[in-house]
Amino acid sequence: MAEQVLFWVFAIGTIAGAGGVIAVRNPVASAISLVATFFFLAGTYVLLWAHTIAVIQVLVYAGAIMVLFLFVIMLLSLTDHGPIVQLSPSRIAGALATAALLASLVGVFRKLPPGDTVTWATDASRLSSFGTLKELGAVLYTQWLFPFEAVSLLLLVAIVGAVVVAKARV
Amino acid sequence: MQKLVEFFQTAPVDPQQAGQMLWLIILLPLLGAFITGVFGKIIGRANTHLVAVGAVFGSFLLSLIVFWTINDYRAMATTPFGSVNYAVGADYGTWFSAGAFKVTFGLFADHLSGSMLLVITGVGFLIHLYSTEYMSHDDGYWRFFAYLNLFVAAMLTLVLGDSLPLLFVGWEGVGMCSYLLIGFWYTDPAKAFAGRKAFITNRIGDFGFLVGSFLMVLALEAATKMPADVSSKLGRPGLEGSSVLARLSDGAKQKGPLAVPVLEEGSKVFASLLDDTIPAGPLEGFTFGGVLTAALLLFLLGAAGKSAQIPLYVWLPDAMAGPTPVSALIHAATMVTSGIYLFCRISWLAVLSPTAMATIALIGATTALVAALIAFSQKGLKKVLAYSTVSQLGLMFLGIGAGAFWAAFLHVITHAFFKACLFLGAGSVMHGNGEEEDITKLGNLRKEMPTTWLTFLVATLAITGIVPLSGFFSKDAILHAAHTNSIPAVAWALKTAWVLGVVAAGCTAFYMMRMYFVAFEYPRSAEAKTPHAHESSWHMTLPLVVLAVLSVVALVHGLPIMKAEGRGTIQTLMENFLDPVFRTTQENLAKRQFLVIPPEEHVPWGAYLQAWLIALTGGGIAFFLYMRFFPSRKGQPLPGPLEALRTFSWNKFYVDEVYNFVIIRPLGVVARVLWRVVDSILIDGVAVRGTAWVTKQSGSVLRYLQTGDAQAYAAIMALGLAGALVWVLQRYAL
Amino acid sequence: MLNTPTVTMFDLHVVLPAAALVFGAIVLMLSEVFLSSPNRTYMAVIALVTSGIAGVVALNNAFEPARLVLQGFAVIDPFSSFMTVMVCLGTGLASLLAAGFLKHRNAERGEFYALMLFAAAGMSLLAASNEFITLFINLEVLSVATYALTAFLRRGPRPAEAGFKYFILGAFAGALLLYGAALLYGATGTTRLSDLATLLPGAMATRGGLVYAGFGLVLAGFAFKVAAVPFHMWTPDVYEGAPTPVTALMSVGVKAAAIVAMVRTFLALVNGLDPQVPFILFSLLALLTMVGGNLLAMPQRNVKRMLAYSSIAHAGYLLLGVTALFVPDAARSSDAGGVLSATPLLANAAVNASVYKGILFYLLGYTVTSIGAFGTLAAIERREDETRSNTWDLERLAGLAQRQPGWAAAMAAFMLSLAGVPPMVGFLGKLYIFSAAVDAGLIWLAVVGVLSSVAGTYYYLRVVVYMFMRPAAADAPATFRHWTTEVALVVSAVATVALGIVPGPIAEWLSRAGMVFGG
Repeated sequence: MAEQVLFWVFAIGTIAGAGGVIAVRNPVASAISLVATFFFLAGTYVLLWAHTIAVIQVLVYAGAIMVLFLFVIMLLSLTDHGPIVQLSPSRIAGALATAALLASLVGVFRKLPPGDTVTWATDASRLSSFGTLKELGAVLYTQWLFPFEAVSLLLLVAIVGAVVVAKARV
Repeated sequence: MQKLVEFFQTAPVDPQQAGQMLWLIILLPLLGAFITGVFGKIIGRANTHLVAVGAVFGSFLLSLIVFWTINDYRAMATTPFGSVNYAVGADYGTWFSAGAFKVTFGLFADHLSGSMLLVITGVGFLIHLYSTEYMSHDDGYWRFFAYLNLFVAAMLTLVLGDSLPLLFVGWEGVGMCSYLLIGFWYTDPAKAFAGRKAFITNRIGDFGFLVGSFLMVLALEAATKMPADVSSKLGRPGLEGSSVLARLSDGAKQKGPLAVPVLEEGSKVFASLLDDTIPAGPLEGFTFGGVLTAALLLFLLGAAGKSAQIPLYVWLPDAMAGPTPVSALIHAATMVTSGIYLFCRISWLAVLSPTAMATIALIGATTALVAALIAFSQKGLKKVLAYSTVSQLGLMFLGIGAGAFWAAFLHVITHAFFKACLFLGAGSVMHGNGEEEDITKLGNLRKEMPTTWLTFLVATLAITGIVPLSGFFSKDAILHAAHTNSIPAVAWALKTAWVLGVVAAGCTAFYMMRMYFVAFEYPRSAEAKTPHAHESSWHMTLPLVVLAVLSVVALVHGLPIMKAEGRGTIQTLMENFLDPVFRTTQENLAKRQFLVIPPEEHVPWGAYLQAWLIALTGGGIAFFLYMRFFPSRKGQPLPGPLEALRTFSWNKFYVDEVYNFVIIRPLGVVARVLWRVVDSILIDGVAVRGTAWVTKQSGSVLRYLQTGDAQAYAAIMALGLAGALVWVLQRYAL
Repeated sequence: MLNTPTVTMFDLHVVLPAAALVFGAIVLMLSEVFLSSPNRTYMAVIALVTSGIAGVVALNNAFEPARLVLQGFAVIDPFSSFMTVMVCLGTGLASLLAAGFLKHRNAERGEFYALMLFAAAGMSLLAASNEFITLFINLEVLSVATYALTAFLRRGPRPAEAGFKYFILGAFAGALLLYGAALLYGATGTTRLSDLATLLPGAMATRGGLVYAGFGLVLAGFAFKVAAVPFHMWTPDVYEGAPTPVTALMSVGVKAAAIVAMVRTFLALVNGLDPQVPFILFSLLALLTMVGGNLLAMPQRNVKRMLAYSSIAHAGYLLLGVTALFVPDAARSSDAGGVLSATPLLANAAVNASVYKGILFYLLGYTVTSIGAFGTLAAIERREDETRSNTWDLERLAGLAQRQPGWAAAMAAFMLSLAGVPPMVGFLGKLYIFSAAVDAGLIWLAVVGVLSSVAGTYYYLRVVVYMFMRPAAADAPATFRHWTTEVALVVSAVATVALGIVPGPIAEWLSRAGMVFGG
């Protein structure tokens, strides 16, 4: 029951935060909304027994990345930019499409059969190791070796790309 | 004499080797095109001439060797179905294969393609030589020679290729070169438009060709899968019905279904299957005869595009925008005859469909007459020649439709000689008269340009059909065949076509003589650009002389001097010469009897007399009108001897009026209506502009969506996705 | 104690081409630091040599048997190996083009070539990926590299705008792909394609909606990468804004890798689904892309944009080939009518082999042709016009036949090949694809394809007309010539013609690509 309550709090909080990111005029406020979203998301991860991911979410996203965001916003001294809601054909079309997508996905989810219930009482042995740093590391460095190495390539490319794009003029 | 004949019937090289070297004939001009096109500007004018002319001459020498070789009865080309006499050929491997479909690189020269080889390289060489002088003032000379050499290479591919796809490569190649050369002087928008028109009309034809080939592939495949009870009737002496089919299917696998020998073998099978229904596959429910007729009509559409027949003839007169040597080579002697070549090549299929044969004959005859009538009202030298080309091509199609393939092909050859001579003569006239081509603004060329005059006269008489010249024999052979042969299923068709053809022949004599009299015999026009014309140099006159001589000498082919084997007693030299090519055709004809060709027992003097009278009448009327009644024009004093005609001056006026009222006006109206309806509205309006307009409009509408706004792009992507998801989920999950 | 996987050298063959490319990229970046020679053409040579080595390694892989490697996360099969060969060919030619192009603009940098090689490595790994997360990561490797390359030259607003647009929309499409993969994971509990193929039929019973939704989302993500209508909108803007050699690489490499990954993914995903769904969705995509690409290209006077739309049209022909893989069996092809109807002539297995061969040969032909076409454009592009709007107007090509006959002849060959005129390679590519489509029963769709490609000749031949039949502008500047550019143009022109005339040995090799793992 507590889990149910927590889930709804986190879920609504996540969505409200995400809405805030695009609906607020002030860039700083927008960035702060994003931080809120990240925190609520981290809470959802905890509910899913993914402790490590939750911690990384807070450390990396809510911590490092958001600080960077705020630095950039303040360095560029961005201010309010006109009204947010401007009706144009493409926005109406986009909104309609999104609504249709949402509706169809909601329809799909509503028809899903109920999943297996996992409780501490019955699955203690599984859950005690699930989502821990150790377990994650073991999977990541053995089973998921290939994608893991691919990520290192991705990071390298991203760094080089960022350097190239950040150069003033070539 | 016997020794001489023997000498020429002994191959100078091993036939096997001759077959292996066929590719060299194509390669030489191709190399020439490459060198002149890429390095032409660097190596200078003289070297460019040397390379371009030398390449075609080398090709001509090789063609001579090949031609000599195929006169030897020991020359044999191997096909999957045995070997073919009097031919050489080689297969250089697979070009490509996709599934069951395969095309090989096979070249093949028999008496038909061998003769074409000589015409293409021989006349091509003369025209190259002529062009060295004609294009001497043009800065784009290297481009010109590169295109011209490329054209020769493509035309040789068309003729030598032993499969329809290879033929089509040449077919497209000559089309592209023609297009490039028509628009050679592209600074003039009208000329560029002419190029575009040629392009579009030819695409329509190509579409027909491709769909026709596709139908043939399907039909062959269906034939090889016929059930046993049907295949039993395919048996031939020494061959079971089922093994005929197995052989056909093997051959199709080995050479590809569109190879000429495979289609030839296929035609023998079709000959027995025409009324059978195809049991399965994409053509399910159609009879073989129906499919064959459809394919042949589609091929006819293709041939009509390339050979300028109704309804696709309109590009040819406009094509005269190109340099004159181009008109002589491409739009008179070689490319435009490729439609006739195609039908001679697949004659064994053509004779299996009386509908197609009748259609070909009628279209040819109608084109011959319509074009001749239009030529009446033209003033430009090249315009008259262009319509006359259309008209002569029509006669050749009449020959095809009448089943006289050899006669049509003989006319291809003689026409190549005299029409090239006429065009080159016209070019020489224009070259010596400040590029003037209006015949009423020339005159007195007989004195001013003696060599050009003489050769032009010979060629004019040849096309008119005056007795000892080659055109007489070839044209007569066609008309004679149209008269005597018959298609029992549609008996009226050949009769009608014959009448139309005869009238067209008379008209030809009239307008050709008119042009000759006005341009050469009339006194020098006051409106002429130069007071005196100058005769061209030997680069230009030598080809004229050679071609004029050839237009006389070619008559040998039309003489009925050979003893026929089998049917009748007498044959012309050409019919005898081409006999090996049309053996399967004869077999199929004998089997189905769709076309009745009465045997020739004696020299057809009556037909000769008739043809001669037609030519004389047409020419005589022209002479009467233009030399007797119509010799002077406004503002010119009459010379003494004509003073006597003054008494007839009112009569001259009368003739002029009558001529105007009875012939020119109606013809003008007809010509204009034809021009307006067919040319302006249908071709220019609908095909050329319409295509561009429709595509542009639809393109522009779509372009409105392309605003450059990333949000809009994302919205459209989301819409696409939402559409797909909603559809799928609605249908299958919710 | 740890469940250590066994990875043998045999497994690593699949990553060797990518490893060679990454190594070359690192050498290039280091050379930027340690070598300061003013002449930097050597960089292009390094890139060329690297992609050559990678190509040879990949070619070697292509003759190995198809199998799962690296615990099922990747696949080594002739289909993906041949694709890697083509990517390496494209990368090598594009880096040759880049040498002259960048030198003219004084912008030769090691990072540029390094990013090209990184992109190629990403393409090679993407083609071999057999698991959704791996696939997504490799897709991002190639995407990030191309985003950066697009914005490499900062001249005028166009490149930055193009890079931004590409990035935003690419991220959007990537998110769709990932969401779809997540839904499929939710339905089956696996992200490995080979496991999905076995688990999907079972999952359909209870979670059919989830599977279909995931299917649609993944399809949209791939459709973006191959630039299928209506997911194509970014293409013209990005292609126009990117440096021309990069455009050349994008038009061939990205598309080729995405097509291969798409085929591999959907061969696994269609198991258990109603066969009508993939068939109709792919048919629609192919139809819209063929027709839309050609129609949009028609009014373009800007040759670079025209080529961008033409690349969309060509993606449509490739999608026609892909559709042929998903034709339902004769017994079940019932309800769709009209253009989207199919009556297969042959059994699926026979068709699939010819489809793989067709797709690969088409990609090979398109690689040499498209690189050549963009290369010619890069060669005549003037530095002074970069910020103007008429840089690539048809007028720029007017009279090229007089100014640079060799270039004009090569460009004419490329245009004819794109239009599908024999004997150029483009004709054979189309023939293989269309005949495979007809064998699969897609007769009407193939007819639409042929008709739209006939309509396409209009704008390709217009380029030829301008080059050969229009006088050069009086103020036409001297062209900037560089030997690397000319080598690239000669190689692609010769390949365009020669492959059209003698496809023999290579087409035979590609027939082996009928072995797609699990396909």
